[in-house]
This record gives sequence, C-alpha cells and structure tokens, in this order.
Amino acid sequence: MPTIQVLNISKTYRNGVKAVEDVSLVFNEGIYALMGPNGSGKTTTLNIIGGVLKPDKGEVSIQGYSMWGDGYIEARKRVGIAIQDMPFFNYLTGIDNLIYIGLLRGLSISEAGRRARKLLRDVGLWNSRRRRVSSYSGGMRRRLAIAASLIHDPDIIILDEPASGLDPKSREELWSLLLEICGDKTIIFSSHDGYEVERFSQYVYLFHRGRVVEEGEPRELIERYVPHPQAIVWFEGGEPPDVDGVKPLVIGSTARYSLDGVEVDDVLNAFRVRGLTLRKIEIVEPSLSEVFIRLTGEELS
Amino acid sequence: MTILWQLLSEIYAYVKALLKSKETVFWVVIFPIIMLVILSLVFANPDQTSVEIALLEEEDLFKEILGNISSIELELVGDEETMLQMLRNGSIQAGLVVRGSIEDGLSTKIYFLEGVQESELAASIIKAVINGVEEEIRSRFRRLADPFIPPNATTFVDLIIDPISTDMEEVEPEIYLDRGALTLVMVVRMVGVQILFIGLFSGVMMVIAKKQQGILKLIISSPITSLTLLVSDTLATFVSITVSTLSILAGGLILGADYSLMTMDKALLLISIGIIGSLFMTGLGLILSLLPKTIEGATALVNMIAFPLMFLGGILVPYTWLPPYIRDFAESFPVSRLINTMMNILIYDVSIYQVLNDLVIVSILSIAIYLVGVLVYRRLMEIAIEEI
Repeated sequence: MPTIQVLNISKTYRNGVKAVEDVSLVFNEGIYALMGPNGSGKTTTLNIIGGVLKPDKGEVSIQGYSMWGDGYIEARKRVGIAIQDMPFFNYLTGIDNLIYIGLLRGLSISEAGRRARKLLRDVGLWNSRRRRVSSYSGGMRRRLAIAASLIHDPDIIILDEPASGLDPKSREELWSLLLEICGDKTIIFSSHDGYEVERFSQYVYLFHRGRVVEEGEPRELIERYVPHPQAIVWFEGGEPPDVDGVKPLVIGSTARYSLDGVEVDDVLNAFRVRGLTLRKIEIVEPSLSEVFIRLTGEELS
Repeated sequence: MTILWQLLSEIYAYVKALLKSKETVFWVVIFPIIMLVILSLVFANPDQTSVEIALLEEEDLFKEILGNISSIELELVGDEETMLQMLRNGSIQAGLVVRGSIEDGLSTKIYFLEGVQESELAASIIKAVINGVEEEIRSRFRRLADPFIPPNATTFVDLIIDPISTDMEEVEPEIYLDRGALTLVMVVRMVGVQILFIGLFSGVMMVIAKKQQGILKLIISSPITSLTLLVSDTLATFVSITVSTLSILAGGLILGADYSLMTMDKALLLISIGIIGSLFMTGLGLILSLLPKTIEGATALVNMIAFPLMFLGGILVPYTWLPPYIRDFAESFPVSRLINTMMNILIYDVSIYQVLNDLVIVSILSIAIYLVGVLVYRRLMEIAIEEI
C-alpha cells in the first residue's frame, strides 16, 4: 500500500479560480517534489494532502486512512505540514508555539516540551526560543515551521516551498538540516526552483495550470526531454530561423535550440543570415527547468 | 489521554498569552481591580441617603406618595413575613404596613432595624410621610366641619382627630451591611461583570479569531475534533474567568471585603453558579458569533452588548436603581439572576433551597443556550474550513 494516495482531487476557490483539477498522485518512502510556477496548483495540492484545505472532489488516503473522511484523525496523526507563511501566535515565544502545536497534535505537555526543545536545537533556534515569534525573521519563522511540522514525529512531512527566498548558501544549509532531522521520513515539498528539485528530490510531479503534466525521477525526465545543452537566444526583428533542421522553441523574444549536433556558431550564423538582431545568447545545461519549458512552453518563474 | 492533552491546548495558549500579552493582563487582571476600587469608593458607603422601603397595604394610599419621593426605593410586598425577612437580611431598610381605610380609620406599623442608622433614617422618613398624610386628612376634615365647629374649639378638635394610629417596631437585624459586606457585594458584582465580558468575548471570538489569525489552518491539520477544540476553548474561558475572579478577590481583600461571610459550602455553591453563568455567556457569545466577520467587528459587537448589560442588566447596578421597564428585563436576565442569587447566598444568608428552583431554571436555560452555541460553532467551523 502506498504511503499516500491522492485520487482525482479538484479544488476551485470561491473567486472562481480553478486551482487544481483532477490530480492523482502516489507517494511512497523517499523525497518527492511538486514543481511548477506560482499558481500552478502545487501549494493547493500540498494543503489538501496535509489536511489544511478541503478538496471539492477526490480522495486523499494516508497509509489507508482518509484525510477528509472518517479516518481523518488517524490520517492527521501521520502527517506534519509546514505551510507557507505558517501561522503562529505572534505574541508567544517560539517554544510556547511549538508546545501549543504539540498539544494540538495530542502530545502530553512534558512530551511536547521535550520535543520542542530538541527541535529548536535541531533547527538552530535554541538561543531564540524565548523570543516572541513576532521578532523572528522570515528565515527563522521558516525553520520554526519545519520544527512545528515535526513536533509529533510524523511519518510524512509536507513542506511548502521550504527554501523560498533563501540565498543559495542558506538553502544548502536548510536542506542539509532537513535531510538530517527528517531521517527516513517521507518528505513532500514544493518548489519552483528546478535546481533544488533536481538536487534533493527522488521523484517529481510537474504542475502546470492545476494539472500534473509529467512525473518521474528528475534525471530520467531530463534525459527523456532535454538530454542536451540548450542555446537560449534573445532576439528582435522577426521569426527565428531553423538551424540544421532543428526548430527552436520560441517563448516571447527568446528562442531555444537543443545543441544536439548543432553548434552555437551555427545558431549565430542562422540569425545573421536571417538579418535578425541578436541581443544575447546563453548556453544552459540540461535541467528540470528546461524540461518544464519544453513540456509547457512556459518558464518556471 | 490524547484528547485530554488536546483539551489543554487552548488553555496553554491562553495562559501563555496572559503572561505575555499586556493587553490580556490589563483586561483580565487590572481592569476588574480598577473597577472594584472605583465601585467600592462610590457605592460601598453605609451612609448613603437613598433608602429601600417595603410597603404592605390593602388600598393604594401610600404607594404613590412614597413612590414619588426620590430618595426612596419602594418595593411592594404581599405579606408581613416577607417584609420582615427582607428587613432582617438587609435588602430593605424599613417597612410600612397599612391596615384599614380612611373611612374606617387607618393603622400603620413601621418596622425598622434597631441600632442601624440608615434604617432609623428610613423609619423617620416614613413617619414624616405619615404625619403629612395625617395633617392633610385633618385639614380636609376641618374644611368639611368648619361651619359646625365653634371658632374657639378648632384646636381641641385637632387634638381629638387622630386619623392614623402609628406603631414603631424595632426588628433585630440578621446582618448589618457594613463597609466589609458592601465591598463584598461589589466583589460579587465585579465577578459578574467579568463573567459577562470574558464569556461573551471568548464565545464571539472562538472561530473568528482563529480564522483571521490563520491558526485555523494549524488546527484543521491537527488530529483534533471540532468538539474537543470547543471544549478546550470553553475550559480556557473558564480559566480566564477564574484568573480574573482571583484578582478581584485579591483586590477585595485589600479593600477590606468581609470574606468571613464566605464559608466553604457557600464557596462551592458560588463556583457552581459562576460556571453556569460562564456557560450561558459563552453560549450567547457563540450564537452572536454568527454576526461579525472580523475581530474588529466582533470586539465592537461585544462592547455594544456587554457595556449596556453591565449597567442595565442588573449586574453592576442593583435592580432597585433601574427604571421599572428595564428592571423587568434585568430581573429576567440569567446572569443577573445568578449574580443576585450569589449575593443573596453570600450576604443575606439565603439557603440553597430558597433559590434552588431559580437555579435549576437558569441552569437548564444556560445549558440550552450553550448547546445552541455548540451547533453554531460547528457550523461556523465547517464554513471556515470551506472558505480557507
């Protein structure tokens, strides 16, 4: 039995925006990513899986217990979620917030206190534990949210854009911390950063306009869709040319050429011959971001 | 065990907020003490000139006259025994019994408490009123009889006309409302005010605050039922009222409230009454939480309802100070009934059996209101979950 089974979930917000439509996912042990640009439905999906947002249709099963049906208590015991802009009592300290959440999750007060102290050490907030959360920086709040999601030692951790807004060094630190404290738990996280997903996830679902457009292991997806480096050309003045029979992928004023037997000089010459103004050219290595662009014709961010 | 710890969650958040939030400390601890000090300075004064008098008469002779005197709070009673009981337990300062009619001759009896200055003052006011009525009767008689009375006999006629015979009877008081007892009255009234405010505020805010602060998302994703959460919230309300009550009691101690009147059995009874009142106000708050959409709107609603109720609902201000049309409402308002029952038990030594019927009715009403509140809470939670 899969750890989490998501079957045909749909969600339309009250303003009429269809956030998620007929999405089905399966998660077992490991680290999973939901990747897509803002508004693609990944946060809505995570919130539905984590028990924060009720779907209009569909089922979420956590180790056999329905997240939105009769077994919701058992299902919620098994999941910890750190949503974006995690809500805390701003006038309480970090440790008080964690103990409160621990009690909500059914821990005894002594156990909640013990877990809170351990997690505050783990996420590097020990020295700030007695400060009010209102004085925490964005990064500190994010680390507190991760601690909150782990307070009841769940099997499954859901993290919505855990490294969003962090510089590369902080992001690496956060992930090494996550990998260390989450151990062998199932982690599901969302991101619009292809590099982060490639680097840390074992399996990825690509989201576009509320639907899953592709899924698989990051390496396998890259090899399937974008096995070669890409030349990205910023141009003006007309239609970009084909190069050695290779059609470019055009997005706005950029054209992408797969450098599969095509050299960069060939691309430059083709533009020169066509008489187009070439503003800039960039060579990028195969990546999940390029896979997403190849599949959807849109950029991740 | 899990549920027991979950029940503790809202209490934990509340107690921590109490320790961390200056605003909460002010409203729960400081505000009632300030109010208690003001009330004690203004009202806990045994030398007040306003007197409460009970009247028993067969015809409406003195009702209008006494009722028109601004310094008299008049209460009509049906029998002499009730009047004496009220006098003994201090709920009136004097009583007047009027028998007979003007045609057949009137006899009056004034009851007052021996050795109690304000009671003697009340009796002397009644006596002065009776003297005035007697003089009026005499002058009418003189006008009617004037043609038949020789001019030099009018003084003699005045002496033999005695239209009202009056007896004065002293009653031994069971209790004397000295400053300590009056301060205790204010302590009880202030506890009532806090039950009113905290109960109503907590009830109205239970769903709205969680929704607006985003905490609802944390709660929804937790393995907790809405009923467990509601009970936890209700317990947190009780804790809040308890903390406030303790601070009021401490304030009362400093101001000299006479706690010797509070025996252990009375204290247990008062705690039960306090719980019933808190349940009623919390339930009422839950029902009213249907109206506001924001914390600011909820705060305005609570103030709009609680402030008038505090003064006009018979909680802070005694019934007898209220105009009759408001008094009827105040006397039927459950929390005011509970607070006045508390005072009757504590100050006037009324037994549980005398107030049992009333308590049972108010308890049933409070539970019913709370249960309606539970339904509202569950519905609002469902809506809030849908709206996230």
